[in-house]
Amino acid sequence: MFVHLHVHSQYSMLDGASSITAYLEEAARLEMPALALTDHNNVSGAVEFHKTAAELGIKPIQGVEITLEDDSHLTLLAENSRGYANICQILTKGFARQAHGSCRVPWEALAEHHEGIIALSGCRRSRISQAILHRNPEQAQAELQRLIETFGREQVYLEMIQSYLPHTKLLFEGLTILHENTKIPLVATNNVHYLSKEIFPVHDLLVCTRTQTRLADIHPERPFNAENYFACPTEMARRFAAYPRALEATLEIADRCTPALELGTNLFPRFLPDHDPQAAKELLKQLTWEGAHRRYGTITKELEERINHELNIIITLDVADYFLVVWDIVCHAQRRGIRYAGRGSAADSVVAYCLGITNVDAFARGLLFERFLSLERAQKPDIDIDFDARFRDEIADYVYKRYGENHVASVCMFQTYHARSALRDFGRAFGYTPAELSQLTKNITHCPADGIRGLLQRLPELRRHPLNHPKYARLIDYCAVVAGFPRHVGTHLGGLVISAQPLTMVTPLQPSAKGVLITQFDKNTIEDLGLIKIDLLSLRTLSAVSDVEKKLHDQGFAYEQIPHDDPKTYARLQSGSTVGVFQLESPAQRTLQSRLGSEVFEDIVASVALIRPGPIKGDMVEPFIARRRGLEEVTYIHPKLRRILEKTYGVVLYQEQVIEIATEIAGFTPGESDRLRRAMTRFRSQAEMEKIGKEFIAKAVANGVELSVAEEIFSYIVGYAGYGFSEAHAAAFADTAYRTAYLLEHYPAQFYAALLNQQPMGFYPPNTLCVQARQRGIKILPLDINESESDFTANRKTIRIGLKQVKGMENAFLESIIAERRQAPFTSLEDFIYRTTVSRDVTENLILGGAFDRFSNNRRHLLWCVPTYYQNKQGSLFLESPVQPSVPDFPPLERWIREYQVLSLSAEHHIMEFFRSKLPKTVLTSQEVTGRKEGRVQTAGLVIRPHRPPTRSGKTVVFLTLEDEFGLIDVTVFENIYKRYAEVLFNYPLLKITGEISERDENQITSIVAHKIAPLIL
Amino acid sequence: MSKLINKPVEVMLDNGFPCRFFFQKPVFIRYIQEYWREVGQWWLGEPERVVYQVVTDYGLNELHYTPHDDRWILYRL
Repeated sequence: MFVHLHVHSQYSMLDGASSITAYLEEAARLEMPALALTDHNNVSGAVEFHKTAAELGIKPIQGVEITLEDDSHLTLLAENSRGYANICQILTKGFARQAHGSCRVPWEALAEHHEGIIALSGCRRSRISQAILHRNPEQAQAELQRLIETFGREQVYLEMIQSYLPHTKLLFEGLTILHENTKIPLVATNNVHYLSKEIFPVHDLLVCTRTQTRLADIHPERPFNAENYFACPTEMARRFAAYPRALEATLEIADRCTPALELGTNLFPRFLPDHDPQAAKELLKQLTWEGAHRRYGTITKELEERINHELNIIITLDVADYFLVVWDIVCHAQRRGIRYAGRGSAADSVVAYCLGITNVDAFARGLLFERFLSLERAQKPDIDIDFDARFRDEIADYVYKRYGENHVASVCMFQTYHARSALRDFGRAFGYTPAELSQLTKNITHCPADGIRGLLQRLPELRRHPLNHPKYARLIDYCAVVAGFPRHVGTHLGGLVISAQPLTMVTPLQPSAKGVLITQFDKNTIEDLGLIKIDLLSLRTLSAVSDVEKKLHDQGFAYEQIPHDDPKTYARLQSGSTVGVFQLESPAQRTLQSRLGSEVFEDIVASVALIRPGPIKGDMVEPFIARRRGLEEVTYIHPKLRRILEKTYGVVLYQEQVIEIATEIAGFTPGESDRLRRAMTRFRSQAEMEKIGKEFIAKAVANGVELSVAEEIFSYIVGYAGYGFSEAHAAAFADTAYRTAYLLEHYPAQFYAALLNQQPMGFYPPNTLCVQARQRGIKILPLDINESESDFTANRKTIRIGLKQVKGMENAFLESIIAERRQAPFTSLEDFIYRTTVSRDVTENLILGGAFDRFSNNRRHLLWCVPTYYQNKQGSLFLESPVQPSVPDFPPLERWIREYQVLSLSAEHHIMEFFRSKLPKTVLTSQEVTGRKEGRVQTAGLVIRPHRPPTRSGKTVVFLTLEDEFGLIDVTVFENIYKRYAEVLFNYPLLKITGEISERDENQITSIVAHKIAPLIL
Repeated sequence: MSKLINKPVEVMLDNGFPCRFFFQKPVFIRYIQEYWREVGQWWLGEPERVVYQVVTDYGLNELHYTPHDDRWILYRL
């Protein structure tokens, strides 16, 4: 028998070509008792490895293959948890002070952290092997001696790899001599990089990607043969027929090792300097009650009970410190004037509300704390906070400084292979040209790497896609192998872990591209190590809101004092004209708003939760609208459901409602109910769901509910539970949604300018925001070299385009322009070029964007002058005069296109204006379509955001918006039409659509159901 | 000085390893100095091969074996 002790999984990025699960399943099939995982310079797979190994009854041995300072390799195995902690320390030191992504371990780190580690001498790139291959036995002996002195005689093995490479005989002879001289045992490995020989090509393609070579190129790291696969014990016995003891050594090592990870331990942060948990609990209570008095004034008996109930759970679960840490972070944001908003299920907590972490009154809303935290689930809390995007990093910096760099790290994020990235990388390795690669990846979006074939078959617009050619069949197969494999490691957008103990006890830390320290475990596995995560996120909407508030400060405006019952704001929501409103601007939301007729804040909360895959698929939207508008009777099949479902007119809309129903009807505790809800979201088979149903119904009947009623109630929640939205989360979002709607209604110019300054964000491109602004009577002032600031600026009725909007603009250029302009305005293009440091490209873009129209309206002529002015500026001996203006300007459409290309928007015109006079009168404007109540129409416009969300029927429906100079028209394209016109729909920017005005409620915004789609070409 | 031959030959095996081959006359292999496996240009359909450097009475020779079609080639003399 034999055990593989040197194995590279997908976490040996761009090298390992098979997954941890695949190796473990094969090991189980071959009845291997143990397996080691030794990825390059990381232990990222450790949690997955340990969990899956436990399921399959295999002993996991956590190891790593490290790279030393001289670029040589060494294989290390953790004998126990101490050894694992030492590996984490070693890797952390290897990454310190290196370029991003590079690990070079100094030998001193091995000496300092050797305990609990078994060292195998390594592959061909090891010092010992290199010395032997260079026919330097003395050097080999010295290197082995160094290993012995560092790790201890009992901890060192000489690693033999028979992968049929040249000079293996020489290597084996050298290792044998060392063994005979020192009695250090030999051990056999196969330096596994893929499961089987058939997968070897993927390994070679990954190596090509890593080394940026093509298959036809020669590179020293390219694999010579396909022998480093997960060989079976019989094969290994054949390879090591002359060295049976080397095979036995693998079992001895496996016997010595114990699983290194202790999953489920608690490494929670401690807030107080002396780490006193009791004092922290008292502090939390004190702060909570202080906050309660501030928020509520009078504390009723019910409120007191609620707060005590939450505090009791928080303290029992030992997460009081966590709440204090988060409280401290938001206090810092408040002190710095940084806008923030707590979101997610944390808004279910009154304690979080009292501490100022969230702005949702969970008590008044009757929200269930157990949706966030419960004794039964005993899961760690996960609090998410959105910050003004510009200051999120400053908040993270504060946390690093407050708790110390050894105790705080960002959570890593693996950029994994999807269809496009796999096609690009492997296509490049195959030697395809950039043009060919561009064609191969065109329209392959939102597709996993193993979903390409299915996508080609499913989407009619891909019928003639080049990937259908048989010559790419192998490429598609190879892409499928790496589906979901990490390609490189980055930083999670907001996740931070804070620990009382040094983080390197459980995870190596390495610098990200931005220099921030990140863990080697992502959000899916970090908490299994006992760590707890806080999400500090960036939200550009908050940046926009802050900007508006600053702008209106002189007028006495305060965002926090926006009343929740402004009739004009609700009127705007009801009109469906909500482009720019947080969460409520998509076509589906705009239609919903116009149908729902939001009049109170609850309507907005419901809106946020309604337009989600769950309620749509669960057929909840129509009943909700009908009942809300009084068109359908609200009934409850059991009186206990009234209190729970009253606010949503009898429709199950929120996850909290599912929990409450299970509690009220079946007598579950709230914690058990939440566990039930989660089980229902993750059920894997109909049999499992039936089992859950039986438990629910039995308990309901025991609780006095009639069987038929219990069954019907269960059917309400079973289809929903998987997709429902947290009410707390919806309420938190609704708060921001309402307030931004208020800003849009009352301060449109300032709000649109703020949104334009925070792009990219939101559903619509910047040009659409400008069109909407013009519709509100706001003039968009063009780019002007003497008038434009860096950002978009607004007065009550105008928005001036900012210099930052110009393609290629850099901060250094902006500073130069603003500084020079402060001295004196620019008097000509020439004057601008001489006085600033702006590059030629960006100057040309400024011209095309209209910045110099004040000097000459002939932009083509100005472009012609540029080379001469730059030449003169460089100090040419021959000062030239620029070309005299005999060259005519661009024709209007070309001028518009060029302006749009550099600004992504146009100040004055919409592209449809150029087509309008050439279109027959039967092609209606968006205004004319809106004026119709029914009938067949033809219209045309710029295509905005075509998308295919999930539908109730499961069929493909495409939603898009057509924009013209007058506004927007939403278009629905059902499956039969989509199949016929798919290629046109997704490949042309301007379309002419014939369709029927869709049936609608009174007040509902007009939309069209498409029958025919054609490209609009002049 | 080595000479490129690159011609098919018949090879006799002993325990899976070449012990004798026929090139114009029988050639006995004294011992195998080295052997390894190569994948070649797999993306162009080139099959895997095993390379044997063998010592004979005539010096060092190189035999290539492609398992794909069970073919032996005397590559170099």
